[in-house]
Amino acid sequence: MTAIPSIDLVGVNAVLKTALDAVVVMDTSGVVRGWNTVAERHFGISAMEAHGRRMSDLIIPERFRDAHEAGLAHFLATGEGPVLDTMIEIHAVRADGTEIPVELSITYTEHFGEPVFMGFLRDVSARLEAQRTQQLLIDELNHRVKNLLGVVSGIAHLTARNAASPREFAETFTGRLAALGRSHELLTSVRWERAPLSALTAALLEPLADERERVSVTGDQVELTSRELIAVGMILYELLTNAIKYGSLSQEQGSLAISWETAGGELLIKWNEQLAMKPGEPERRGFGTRMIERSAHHDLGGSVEWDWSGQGLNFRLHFKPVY
Amino acid sequence: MLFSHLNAQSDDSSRSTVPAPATTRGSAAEALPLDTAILIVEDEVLIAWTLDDLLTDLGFRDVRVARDSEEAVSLAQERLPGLLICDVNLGKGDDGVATAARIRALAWVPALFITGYAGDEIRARIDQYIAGAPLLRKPIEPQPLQRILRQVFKQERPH
Repeated sequence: MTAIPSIDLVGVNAVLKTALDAVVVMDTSGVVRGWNTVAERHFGISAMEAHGRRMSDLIIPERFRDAHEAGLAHFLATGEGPVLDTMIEIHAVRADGTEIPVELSITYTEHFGEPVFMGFLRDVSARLEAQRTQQLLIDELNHRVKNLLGVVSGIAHLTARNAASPREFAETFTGRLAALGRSHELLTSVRWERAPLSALTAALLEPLADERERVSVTGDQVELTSRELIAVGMILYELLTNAIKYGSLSQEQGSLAISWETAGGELLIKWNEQLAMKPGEPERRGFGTRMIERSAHHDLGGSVEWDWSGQGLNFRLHFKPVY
Repeated sequence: MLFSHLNAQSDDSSRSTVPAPATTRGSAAEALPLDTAILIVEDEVLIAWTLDDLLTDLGFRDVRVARDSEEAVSLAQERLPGLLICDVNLGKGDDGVATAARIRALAWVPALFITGYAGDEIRARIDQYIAGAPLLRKPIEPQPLQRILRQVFKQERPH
C-alpha cells in the first residue's frame, strides 16, 4: 500500500482539512488518494486506512459498485462523464455497514500533477429526517383539524337539538366552543403531551375570577393525556354552566367545591355544590347530562354518579387515567 | 340545517317511543331496512353521538356505539350487527379497517367507513380488506349519509 505515492496535494489538503463537507480524492485507476477529516468522521474510516484502497470497496454500497466501475471505464475511454460537475443524491456506506444519504458532486481535474477525481459529499440524513418529521407533523395537523371540524359539527348538531331558540343556540354553542378552545390552548402549551388537571380547572374557571371566594379547587398533582383533558374539560364545562345557570353559582350564597383524589390507579373527581335554597332534581336530561355520561364512558372508560339529595348537586366522576 | 331539529325530542328515554319527525323521513328513507342493527365504531364521542342521532332520525331503532376495536369486537360477539360503520382512524389499538375485518371474520356484515381525510392511502387501506366499501367524509352530513346507506345495503352478500 505504501508503494502508492500520495499525490502532492499539500496546498489542496490544507483546504480540504477545513472543508465542511467530506472530500475524497480518487485517481483514474479507482484508488483513493486523498481523504479529509470530515470523510474520516462521516464514514468511520481514517485517511490512513482509506489511502490506497479502491473507492468502490470503501464507501460505495455493493449494489452501485458495478455501475461505478463501468462509469469510470466509460469516462476514461470516451471522456463522457454524466455524473461529473453536477449534484446527485445517492447512498454511501459507512465502515459499520450502515448507509447514509448523501449529496455528491464529483469533479475531474488535472491540476495537481496527475489527473484525479475529487468527490464532495454531504451527509443529508439530518435534513431528510427533518423533512420526514415535518411531513408527519403536517399529516397529524391535518388529521387533528379534520377531526376537530367533525367534533365542532357534532357540538353544533347536538346543541341545536336542545336549544329553544336561535339566540340560545348561539350562546350555548359559542360557550362550548370557547371551553374546547381553552382545553386546546392548554394542550398546545404542553405540545399535546400531558398536562396537570389543576391547569385545566384554572383555565375553565378563569371567567369566574371574581367569584374565587365561593369556588374552591383542591387535589393531588395529577397529569392527564390530551384525550383525557379534552373529555374532562368538556364535562367540567357542562357542570359549570349548569351551576351558573341553575345551580349553586346562580344563588348569591351558593358555593362550589371541586376536588379530586387518586387511589389504586383510579382518579375520582368530586363536584359539590352547596346552595342556600335547595332545588329539586332537574326534570329534563339535557345535552349536558347526556354528554357527561357518554363522554365518561366513551372517552374515559369511566362512570359517573349524580346525587341531588344534599344541598345541591353532588357529582362524581371515576376513571382510570392512562399512565 | 342546524335548526331543523329544534322541536325534535331527543332524550334517550323518549327515543324508543317517539317516532322521528316525519320531515326527516322522506319517502326515499323508507327504502332503508330500519330494523337493521347498526354498530358504530368511532373514538370521538361527539361524532359517534351525532351519527347515532342521525341514524335514529332516519328511523333506525337499534344503534350501538363502540369507542375502540376491543369494545366493537366484544359488542359484535354479544350480538352480531347488520351494518358496521367504522371510523378509519381510531387512535389507539386496531384501526377501523382492521376492526371491520375482525368482525367480518365472525360473519359477513356490510361495512361502511368514515374518515376525516379520504386520501389514496385510506382508500388503498380499505380496499386491501374490503374492496369497494363505501367511504363517508367527516363532518357527517345527513344527505350523504342517507345516500351511502342506500348504497351499502345494496352490497351483495357473497355466496
